[in-house]
Amino acid sequence: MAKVVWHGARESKRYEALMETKLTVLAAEMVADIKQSMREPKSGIDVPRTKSGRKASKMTVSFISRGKAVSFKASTRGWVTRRSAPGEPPAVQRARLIGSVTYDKPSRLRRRVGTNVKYGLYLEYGKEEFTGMHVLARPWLRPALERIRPRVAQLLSRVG
Amino acid sequence: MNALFVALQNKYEASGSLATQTNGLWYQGEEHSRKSPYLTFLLVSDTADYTMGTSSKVVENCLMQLSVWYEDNSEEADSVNGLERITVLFDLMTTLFDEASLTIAGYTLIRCFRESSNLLRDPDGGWAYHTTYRMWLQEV
Repeated sequence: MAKVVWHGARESKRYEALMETKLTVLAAEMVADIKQSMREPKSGIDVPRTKSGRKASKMTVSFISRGKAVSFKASTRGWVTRRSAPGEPPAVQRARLIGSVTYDKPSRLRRRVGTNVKYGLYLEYGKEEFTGMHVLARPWLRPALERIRPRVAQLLSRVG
Repeated sequence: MNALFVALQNKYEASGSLATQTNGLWYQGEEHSRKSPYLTFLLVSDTADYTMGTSSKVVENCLMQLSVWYEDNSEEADSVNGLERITVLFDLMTTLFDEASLTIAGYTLIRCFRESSNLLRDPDGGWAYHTTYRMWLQEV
C-alpha cells in the first residue's frame, strides 16, 4: 500500500528561505537603482559648492530663485555642482542622502528601502514655505519603486 | 500630460465644498499666493508601457501626488485643531478623487485610485497630507 508523506512544512520553510533571498536581492537592486538615478546628469542650475566642515570663504553667491534673491557663502575652490530640476531625482551635492539610502529587514518577508536623512522626505514630497525653507519635490523613492515593479513580478513569480 | 493637469483643475473647480474651503489647486513649483490651506499636484512618474488587448493605443501608467497644505504655527501639542482641519480637507479631497471620472482631452481614463497617503507635521509650522494616486489612461 502506497504511503503518502506530507512535506508541506519543510517545503514551506524552503520556499520562505528562497523568497527571503529574492527580497534581499530586490531591495539591493532598488538601492542601486536609486543611487544611479541620483548620479545621472541633472538639468537644474549650476551652483558653486560649499564644502561641508570647512570655513566658507568670503565669496557670496547670489541668484534669483522663484522670484526671490537667494545668497549664500560659497567655497572659492571652484567646484561647481549642478542641481536637479524639480521632478528629477536629487543631484549629489554632499553625498549625504545618497550615502544614507539603504534597506533593512523588519521581518523575514519584508524589506524596507529608504533613508534616515530627514530632508530625503522633503525631497520626496516637497516642502512648502510656511515659515521656513521651500523645497520643490524631487521624487526619488517612488519612481524607483515604479522601475523595479516589473522585476519584482519577474523574480517572485519564478520558483527556484 | 498637460491634458491631465487641466482635467484635475476642472475637477477641483467643479468640486464645490473642496474648492470653497481651500485657496486653490496648483502645480507644485508653480508660483502662487500660498495662502493656506491649498492643494498641489505633482506628476511623480509616467510610463507608457503596454497596450490593452488588440488595441494599439498606448496605456499610460501615471503616479500623481496630490497634497493638502495647511499652515498651523501652534505648538505641536496644541495643534489638534490644525490636525482636525487637514483631516477634513483630506477627506474632501479623497472623496473627490478616489475612483474619480476625469474628462481628459485625447485620453480615456481607465481608473484613478488612491495608492498611499502620508500625514506629515512640518516642524516649521504646517500640516501636509500627501496622497499618491495611480491613474491609468488610454490614448483615444
